[in-house]
Amino acid sequence: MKMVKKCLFYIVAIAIALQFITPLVWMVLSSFKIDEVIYKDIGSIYAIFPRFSDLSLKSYTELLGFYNIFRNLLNSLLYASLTVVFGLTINSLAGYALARFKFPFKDGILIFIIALMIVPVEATILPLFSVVNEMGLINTIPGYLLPFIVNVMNIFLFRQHFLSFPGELIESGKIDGLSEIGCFLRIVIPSSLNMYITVGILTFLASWNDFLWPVMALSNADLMPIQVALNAIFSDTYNIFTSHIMAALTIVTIPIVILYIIFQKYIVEGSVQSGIK
Amino acid sequence: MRKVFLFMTIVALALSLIGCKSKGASSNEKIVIWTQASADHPEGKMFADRVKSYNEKHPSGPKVEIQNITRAGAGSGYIDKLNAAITANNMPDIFTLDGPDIAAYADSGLLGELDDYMSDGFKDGFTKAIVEQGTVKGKFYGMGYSDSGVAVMYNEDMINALPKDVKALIPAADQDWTWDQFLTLTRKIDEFAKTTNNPAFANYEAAVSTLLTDVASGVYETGTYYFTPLLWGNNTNIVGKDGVTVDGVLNSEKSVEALTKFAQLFKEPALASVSESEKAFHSGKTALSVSGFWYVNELTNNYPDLKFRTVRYPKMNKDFDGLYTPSGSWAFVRNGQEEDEKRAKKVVEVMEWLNNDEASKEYYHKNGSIPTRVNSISEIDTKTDNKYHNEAWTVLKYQVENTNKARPVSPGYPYLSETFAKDILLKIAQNKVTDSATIKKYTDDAVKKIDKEFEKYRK
Repeated sequence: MKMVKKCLFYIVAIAIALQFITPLVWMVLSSFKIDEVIYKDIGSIYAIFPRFSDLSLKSYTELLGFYNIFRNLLNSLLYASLTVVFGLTINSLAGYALARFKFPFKDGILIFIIALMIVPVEATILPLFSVVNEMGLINTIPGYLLPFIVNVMNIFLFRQHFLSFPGELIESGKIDGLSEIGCFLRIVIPSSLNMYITVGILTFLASWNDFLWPVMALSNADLMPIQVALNAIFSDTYNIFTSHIMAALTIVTIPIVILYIIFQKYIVEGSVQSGIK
Repeated sequence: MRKVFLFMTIVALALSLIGCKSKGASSNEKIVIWTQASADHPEGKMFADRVKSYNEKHPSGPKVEIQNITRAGAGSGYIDKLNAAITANNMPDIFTLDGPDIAAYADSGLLGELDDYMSDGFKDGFTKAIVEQGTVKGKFYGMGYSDSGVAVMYNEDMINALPKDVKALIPAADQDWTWDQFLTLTRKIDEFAKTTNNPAFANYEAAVSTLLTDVASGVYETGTYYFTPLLWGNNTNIVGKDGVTVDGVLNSEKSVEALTKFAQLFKEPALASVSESEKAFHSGKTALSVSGFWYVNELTNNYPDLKFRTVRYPKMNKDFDGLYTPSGSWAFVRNGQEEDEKRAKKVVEVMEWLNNDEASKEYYHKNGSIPTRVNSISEIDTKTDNKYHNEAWTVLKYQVENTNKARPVSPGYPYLSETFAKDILLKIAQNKVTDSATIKKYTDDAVKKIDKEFEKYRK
């Protein structure tokens, strides 16, 4: 009976896994076919188990001839990394202050931060554009990065984490002669690495997947991140090549899949802690 | 660790201080152009080349700068940024808009009219449909840089498998034909397909591809763009000439008559489907297709084995001699907030450079954009090695020169188009409605909705 249950569990688990993996496999395989073959194979076993003779690098060579995908990819990596580094610095300090220090209007600030969490990004895009424009930062990297370095959700996550951080550890650090910032750097951060990695990954993914803000904030083609390049390929009026789209998606997905494989434990933890699906 | 952390904090603070510098106002020495084309795409590159040549030939004039803002889908992304720039009073001097959107922006006073600033006779160089597309309440606002077209394509292998009498129903590429003839042919193809074992029909799904799947998935404009011509060909439209009256137009007897003809495609056994397979015509699943001009490049480049033939878009009746085929595309417009007459004149001079005969030819050669200038249409190459490509472009060229008609000019066009496609075309197709009474009810309901929305434009 136990064996049967186990078998059933694996059958269901494999079926669910296949449901999620198949589109990804189809995307990768389709990127090596020409459009004619992609649509001929749809609905047949060849969609997933292609004939070797149908596979080629044509879509990749054509795509890379049209678009400088790797430049956009590097831009995205740079922006996401900078947002993570500065975001973790600012947001963790804010969260720490809200959790550990006493100062006027602390509760009011906290309520304000929680209230801001319910405002969707889309609702703030127009005023954000106006502010960045007034600052003369449109079409600059600081103008693109600044609005999303401070993240109220991340401040809240850090605040909740630091609330449960044992105060005795900090007190003993102070007795040993560490300053407040010294305690934060030498005791709090090393003991909270899991939290930093989790928030870092969530920040990285949000920055990587952002489309609307880069379109608003940047005009220079050399500065565009990968999501903007992808949309350019999707929205092509004259040459709509599914194989190009699949090749671009494959190139874009690879870094994220690698990141996910390395940090999957933290991504799951982060999703649970932040309530994000 | 401590040094790294302090460094990050200082850099973060420094970054935030950058924002305290003075506003970077746009320079009067510069004319800024925004387009929806990606910089890496041939369309973006052709604009960049054109601007470069302007700057080279006018070294003493204001420098022209082009910025490419990628659009997503029908234009979002680009349009979002444009609207944000309008709110922030940071509009570019020249920008692109899709033809049917020009009226809404002009109605809001955001566009500058062009007639008073253009060189003599420049406007007359555009095709009738492009002038019509860019004209709102008698004033010309938009210089279309590319036209479009829709024709009917058929799969030669499938048609060759038909009995001779059915095959004879296909017109020649230089012949007009009617929706009645089209429907008769489609019905006979469907009857044949259901009884034949011919391998050309092995993947048969339906007689004709209509791309109504686009409408079902929210791309409403495809439906309006493809099928409004039935109404035009029946001397009616989806909105009145004032752009805001729909009652008595969209639900008129003539409109219902045209839509009843469209409905025949979905009469059981259905000849077309709202859930047709992706690329149904491309992969031999339909024998006919109502096809946009972009099919030609797509089929030629990516479906080398498909023998596609092209015939004209059908008329509602053979004696109709007005304009009736779909047309229109993106156009250049200018910032209506510009008050300096001298600068406005310079801006229009740049627009002329971007849209003159030479530019139109360049755009065709670099990106396949259908020329909008009468003198440039002859550039369309119908003598390549590919006879299917040549035939398709011969048909489209004829339509651009002779029968293309602009989509209705209305400040509420996006809503009008969505309601027409979703609440009339899609409903007819999904419910397989063929009787005039129900179709009249659909049009009446749509008119009520549109009328309510259009109240704001009548004030």
